[in-house]
Amino acid sequence: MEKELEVITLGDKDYFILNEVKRNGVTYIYLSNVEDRDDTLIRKSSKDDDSIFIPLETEEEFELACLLLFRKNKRMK
Amino acid sequence: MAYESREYNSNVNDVEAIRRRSMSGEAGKRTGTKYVKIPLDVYKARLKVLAAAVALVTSVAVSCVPGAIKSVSDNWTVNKLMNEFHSEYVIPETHRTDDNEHFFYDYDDIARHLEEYGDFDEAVYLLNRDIGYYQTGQVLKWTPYESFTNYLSEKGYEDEEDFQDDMKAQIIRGIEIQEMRQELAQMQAAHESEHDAVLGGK
Repeated sequence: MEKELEVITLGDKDYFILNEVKRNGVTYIYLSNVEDRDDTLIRKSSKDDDSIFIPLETEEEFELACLLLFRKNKRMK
Repeated sequence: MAYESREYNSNVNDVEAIRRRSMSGEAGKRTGTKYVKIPLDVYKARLKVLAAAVALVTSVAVSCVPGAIKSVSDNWTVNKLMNEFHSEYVIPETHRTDDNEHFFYDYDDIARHLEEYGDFDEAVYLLNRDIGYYQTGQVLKWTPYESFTNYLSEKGYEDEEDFQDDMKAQIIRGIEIQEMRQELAQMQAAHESEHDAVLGGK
């Protein structure tokens, strides 16, 4: 069995998009480096262009992104 | 391409690394054109890395609920926060002139309330929304910022509108986090009571 994942490039590294959550017009994407499974991170869509994904701005926003994913997964179970 | 699938247990260092990478580094453009097929077990292994870190962050967040989080109702809004600030900190420092024609503020006392509020920037935002640019400047003369213009400049805002937009977004984000923490705490409590019921039934 295989799973097809979208890939996004940050700098010179490719990342799988493992999951995504939308909240108040912002999309959070949860990424895993194609070449390094330990390189996991989160990006959010830019206000100006929702196809551009930028770093989170604050620790609170990081917590919010984690809470959103945790809640989404809880509801899916 | 090596997709190893060892067991993964997240710890605080992993979370810190994810937090650091999430808040720095490059932006990227999503084209919706590049897809890769990977084995399902590899996909699940990748998800586990993320899920372990997220579970750790959220467990810390939820454990904060009893002491640190204010009660938040569904229709809790920035306006409600503004009304509370107005009632508690501005009205008591608003006085009629002797001729009863006008009113004035005790700027120094309001400045003291900004310090007492607990979140100085949020307090300045609520004050600014309540009494406007000029009067906020008069209050800030009694603080180390000396003026609203200096305050905005030191905080890196272009102007009053930029400040208001950013602060409003920050307050709403804070409210969302509080609401989700409560929701997660309720889910956790419900899960624990279900678990207890199952154990009790055995």
